[in-house]
Amino acid sequence: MDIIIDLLVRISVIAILCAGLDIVLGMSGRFSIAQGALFGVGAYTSTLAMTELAWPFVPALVAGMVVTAIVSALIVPLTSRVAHFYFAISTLAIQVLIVTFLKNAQSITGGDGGVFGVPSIELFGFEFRGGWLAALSVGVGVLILLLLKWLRRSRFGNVLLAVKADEQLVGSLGYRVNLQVAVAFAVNGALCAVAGAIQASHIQYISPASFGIEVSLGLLIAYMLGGGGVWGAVLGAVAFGGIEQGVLLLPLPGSLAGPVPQVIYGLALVLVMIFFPRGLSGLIRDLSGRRRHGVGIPDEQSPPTPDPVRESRVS
Amino acid sequence: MIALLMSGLALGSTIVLLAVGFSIVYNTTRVFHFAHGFIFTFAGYSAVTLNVELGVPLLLASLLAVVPAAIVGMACETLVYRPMRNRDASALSLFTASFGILVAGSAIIQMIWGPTSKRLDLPSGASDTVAVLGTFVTKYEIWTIALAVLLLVVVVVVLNRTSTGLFLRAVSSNTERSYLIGLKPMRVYLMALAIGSALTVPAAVLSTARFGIEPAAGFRLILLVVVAQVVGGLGSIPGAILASYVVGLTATLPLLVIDPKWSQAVVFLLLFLVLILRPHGLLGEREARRYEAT
Repeated sequence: MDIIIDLLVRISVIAILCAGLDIVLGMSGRFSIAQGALFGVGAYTSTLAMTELAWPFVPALVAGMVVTAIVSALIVPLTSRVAHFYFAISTLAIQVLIVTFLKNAQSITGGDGGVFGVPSIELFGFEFRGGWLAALSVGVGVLILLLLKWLRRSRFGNVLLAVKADEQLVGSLGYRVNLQVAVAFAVNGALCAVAGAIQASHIQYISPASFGIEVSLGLLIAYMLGGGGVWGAVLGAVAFGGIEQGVLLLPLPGSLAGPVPQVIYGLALVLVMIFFPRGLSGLIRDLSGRRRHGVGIPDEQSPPTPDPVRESRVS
Repeated sequence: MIALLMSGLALGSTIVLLAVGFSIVYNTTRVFHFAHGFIFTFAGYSAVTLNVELGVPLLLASLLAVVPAAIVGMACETLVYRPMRNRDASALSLFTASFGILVAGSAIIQMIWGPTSKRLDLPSGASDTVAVLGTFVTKYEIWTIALAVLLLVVVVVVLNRTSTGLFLRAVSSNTERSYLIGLKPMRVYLMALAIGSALTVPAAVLSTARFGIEPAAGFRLILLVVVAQVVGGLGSIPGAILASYVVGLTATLPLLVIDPKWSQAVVFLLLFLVLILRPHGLLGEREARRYEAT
């Protein structure tokens, strides 16, 4: 039973983080490698608000969402002069800087040791534990995916999709591109904080190691496996979380428990990139016989473009 | 101070050998070759296996390790990058796939060789220290620095004075037109991967000699290489050389005044400042600018 609870919570957390990635990467075309750190900022802020300031859960979660949204949105002005690989590497730098801060600012974050005894989620006097927490996280995950579905069809979502296709054009239509993208990042940050709060209350412990660069990259793997979009987030989370938790069930010697899932994700990612560049969701769509278009970073709704992510040069 | 300077230069030398290989690969194939870090680790373990388990002398083992490293490098191209290119994959898809190779490859290394650090069978007296300007530095640091300079000279000569270098530069500057003059870009891509991978071997052997090698070694190093690439300007070889030493020194010199736990942050702060002030890197072309790009 515990295994199922772990699996459901994990899948929901990954799905929420993939939904966030879909807003910044899938919709706005910004390849961010800072998702793990944002997840960490959210988890730490809400946890510390509860343990250090003794706030109840709801205000703590809101504080986490606000702080993470601000941190996430700040990425946009800080990187406004760079694009493409340079943008990806800048977000990598932000990732490393944030985690170094979490590790080293011992007086605030508890340093490498992390924070023990994270309180359970408590809403209206009801404490969510075990099965209830799993149900809550699945519910929140579904809500967020519905929000994503709505966002992808909204006016704002269309502007973001247009930014990905042709940033200059959107600018020339009078939209302030950086502002739109900053809002997208802020929404992503708030989602990361929700995921962080669920994860922290589930395992009741947080440490900088849970939010490192491997986590950011693992999330990108989950996202790419899924292929973006609402169903991509679901499929990616199920595949990634399923492999991660499934491997724990195998009778592997301890020495293989670490590398085996990494080999599976890594190879799966390479194979998906070669054969189904639009991920599992794209594969299913192709199998179900709908038209296929565009190859590259997967995208659900935008019209076919030669390269959906801003390509600076292919000489 | 001198000791930190030397260890910074040695780190820079390790980075520069990878960064130049990375640049050569990037310039020709346009792949952001993250898997380079895995090839570094693999080269280190190949040398350890040849040297320790098969008893091959260190120098010969280092030379032989070039073969498996180059084969794995070329396998990345033929098995992954080429099929993707044939399907018009985007640059970021290639970036992601290359990253997948790094993750899976490092994990496979851990499955084969185990998670613990491995060491080379070093001749006695090899790790002696010598006095330089009043402090003691290990011979390996001096070896690393000297060998890197030597190999850089070789690479620059090869690139500028031989037909191999001419082919590489031709394909880098214009792939389509290099077809027209009878070059086979696919073959040149393989050549670039082989040369780049071969360059990881001296870096891996010397780094293994100093610190031993573990499965995550290449992952950590490739992050610094990527920083050096971006600081120097993606694909610029002079930029990569300059930036590698800058990154090496930035990682070590501040240790004079700050706690070692912040040293990684200093490197990435440097990266960040460079990207804000000079978005195309110190010596890069202006390709990274958002609006000039399209």
